[in-house]
Amino acid sequence: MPELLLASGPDFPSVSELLPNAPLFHGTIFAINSIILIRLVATALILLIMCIAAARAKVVPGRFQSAVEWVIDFLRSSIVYEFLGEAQGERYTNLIVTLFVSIFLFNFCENIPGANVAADTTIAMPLILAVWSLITYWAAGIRTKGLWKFLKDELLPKGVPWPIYILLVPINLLEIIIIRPFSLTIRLFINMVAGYLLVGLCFAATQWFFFSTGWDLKWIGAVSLLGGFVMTCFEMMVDAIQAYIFSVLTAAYIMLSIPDSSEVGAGDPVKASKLQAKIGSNKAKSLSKVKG
Amino acid sequence: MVVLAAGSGSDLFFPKVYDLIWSSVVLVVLLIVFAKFVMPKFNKVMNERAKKIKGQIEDATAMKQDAQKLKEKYDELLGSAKMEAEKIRQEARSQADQIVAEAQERAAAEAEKIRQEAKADLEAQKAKALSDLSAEVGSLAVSMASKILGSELKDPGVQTSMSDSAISRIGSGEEK
Amino acid sequence: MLDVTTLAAVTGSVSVIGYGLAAIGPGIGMGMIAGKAIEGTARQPELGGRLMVLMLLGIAFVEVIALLGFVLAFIQ
Repeated sequence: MPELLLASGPDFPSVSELLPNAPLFHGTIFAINSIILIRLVATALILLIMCIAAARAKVVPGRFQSAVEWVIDFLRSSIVYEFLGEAQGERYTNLIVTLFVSIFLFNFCENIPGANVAADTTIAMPLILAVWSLITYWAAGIRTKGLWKFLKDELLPKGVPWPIYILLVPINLLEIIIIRPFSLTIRLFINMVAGYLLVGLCFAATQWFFFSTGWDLKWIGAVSLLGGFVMTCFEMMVDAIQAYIFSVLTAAYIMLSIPDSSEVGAGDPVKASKLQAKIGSNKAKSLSKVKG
Repeated sequence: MVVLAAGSGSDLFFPKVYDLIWSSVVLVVLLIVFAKFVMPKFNKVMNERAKKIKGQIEDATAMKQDAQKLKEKYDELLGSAKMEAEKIRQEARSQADQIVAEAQERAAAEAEKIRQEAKADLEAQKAKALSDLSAEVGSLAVSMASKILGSELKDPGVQTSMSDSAISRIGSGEEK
Repeated sequence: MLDVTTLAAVTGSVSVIGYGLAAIGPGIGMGMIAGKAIEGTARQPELGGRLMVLMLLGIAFVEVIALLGFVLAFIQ
């Protein structure tokens, strides 16, 4: 049945395209498939762009340098300082900027003709990024509080009657070890997969309606072409938002790991309100940039 | 439907070893380059600029303060100068008033003096005229009387006493 | 499947139906988040930027549930 449909219907994108064979170094652990190749090229481009921008950086910036600095400044003020404060946040600026810039440009590959698929559309890349995020917030907690204090704060939130701990400890442990990186991974990866499938669906339908149907159906191809444009624009937005969300959540997880100045009790609802209070405590000056 | 039927969807969620390795390599390279080269460079440039702007703002503030001070000084000077001018004008006005008053006083005194002198002169002239006249009138009267009376009044003593009494009578009559 | 008489059969991927069901809840949730964020912004426009960030964070958390449905649709 599927084969029949495939033979007669449009050449819809399929999941198997996201699981390409690895022709280079086949069989070794350094095998390279097409998505990895795109990722390597994208990495080289990111490094090239950022290094050129950095090497040419002057006190009086040009247009290109201003753009790069705007991004760095935006990330620093609206994510790092907003969540971690200036004193504690400074050391994490590099991490957040690296995460945002690389995720955004990796994602953006799906809108570039020739690549057509985001450089992080295999689960490995989001997974590695999320694991790096996990390592960072564990390291941040251990560095500032020590392992036991960190675990105690995370697993045994204050202000909870002790029988609840039986339920809470495994849940919290699961949360800080598995759920956080897993949700980061799935969010980024599935958004990219869905984007790839949606845009591919629109353009495959256009192709099929234009070249394989009679004149009476060609107008549907025009509609799906328009849909493809809209979806591409939508995907550009999603690329930026996903990169932003990933960076913000990493910053938020780091914030939950390091000691707070007020040191109110933890526990997930309390943590959430602490998070909100922290966001709320800062003036909206930098955040209004998000809107603009 | 086709999308899901083709390929084994669950394979998507099991990363391959080579994929993991390349992802790690990419991430590590990115992190190292960003941390060692890109961000320090940008931080340096941005800090430098911030410092420069801060310095410029401080300079501008200092200049503004200087200007403010100068303006205050100038205002002060202007105020004192205005007061000085007012004082001088007041003085000049009072001095002028004084001068006018003095001049008037002096003029009045002069006029009074002149009038007094004129009056005295007049009195003197009058007295002189009276005495002259009385002598003239006396001799005239005597000659007239002698002509009328002939030689009856040859004695000069009689003459004199008669004329004098007559004149005094006339004079007193005139006085009334 | 020996003696059972098949009265009606669903062809194609049942997991897509599952994904459709799984998307209902997060869809409603995201709508509420966005709606409340708009309400809040209308009430206090000066907090718009902050609310926007909170909205995105909330949506990110809710989105995971819908995405889990999407994942399970792939795994057959």
